[in-house]
Amino acid sequence: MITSARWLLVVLGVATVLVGGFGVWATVAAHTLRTAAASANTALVDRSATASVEQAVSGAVDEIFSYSYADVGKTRAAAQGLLTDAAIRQYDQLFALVERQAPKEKLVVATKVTNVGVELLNDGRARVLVFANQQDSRAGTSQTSYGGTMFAVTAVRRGGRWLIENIETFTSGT
Amino acid sequence: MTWFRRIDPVLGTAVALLVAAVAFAAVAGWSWISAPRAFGVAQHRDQALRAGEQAVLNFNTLDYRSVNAGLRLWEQSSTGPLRSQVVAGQASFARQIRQAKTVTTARVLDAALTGLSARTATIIVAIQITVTPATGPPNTKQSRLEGQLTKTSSGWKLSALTQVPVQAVRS
Repeated sequence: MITSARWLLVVLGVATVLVGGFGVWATVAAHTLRTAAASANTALVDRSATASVEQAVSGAVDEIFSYSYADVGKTRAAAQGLLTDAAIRQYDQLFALVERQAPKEKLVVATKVTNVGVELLNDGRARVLVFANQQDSRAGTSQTSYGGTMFAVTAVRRGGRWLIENIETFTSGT
Repeated sequence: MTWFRRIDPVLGTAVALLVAAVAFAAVAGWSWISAPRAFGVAQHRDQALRAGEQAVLNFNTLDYRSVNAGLRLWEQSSTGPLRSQVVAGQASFARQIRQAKTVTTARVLDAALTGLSARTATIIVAIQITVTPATGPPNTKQSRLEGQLTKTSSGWKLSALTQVPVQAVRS
């Protein structure tokens, strides 16, 4: 014969298993969600992080590609604080040409980013597509030419700031 | 405290275990509830980007040997004002393409969304377009496009598509 005390034990036991089982399931599910979130692309999902990448990359592009023949050194110096790794070498290569040509041609170049879209944002790394307009003027003349450019930028977050790590231009292929 | 001594030690243990299980479940449950769930928005974004890229590609692909099929694809890829333009200009445009005998193909170099809400999105696309005329070599150029996407009952469609203009830079 089963006493009422024994019934109570059975009920308590079943409840413990059910509640404990839920606890185990929730722990596993929470871990899965957090792991997925850590490796997920949060571009446009995390609005504030997306905006901060957009802002940092547009500001940096405007600055490093705008220069005056009278003071190319200023732009080059500013660029060193906005670039890192491969981008420094890419930029130095490009800018060596600018430093030779700009004073000869009295070139003043202004660059303004018009569109910026974050494709990938994850764990302090971002890939950003950039459209920019450029205006080249020659001092002492009325010659001004306008051009549009597009490239993809990889940015990394270092010490709380976004730095450009790589610049990929879409060189004409097949 | 006489009632305490009267409790069966087995029953006491069972109650203690249940209390512990409830505490564990509460903590685990809270951890689950508060875990980040970005999947919905991330999926929404990926769908918009994928559909947008394909639609922009469709709008930059046209073969004079199958103009009608090509323009039908334009119509299917668009909605709103852009679709109205396609429909209104269809006949005369088809005639022009057949006369010029051009084949236009495109390759998306890169694309990104610059804005996203529940029913609309803005896409920018770096694209390379190749136009092959009836005679002479093909002409390839790169272009910067911006499109407005609208979510319809049959997926994301383009409601506007323009070339990003080259403009003077105000400093």
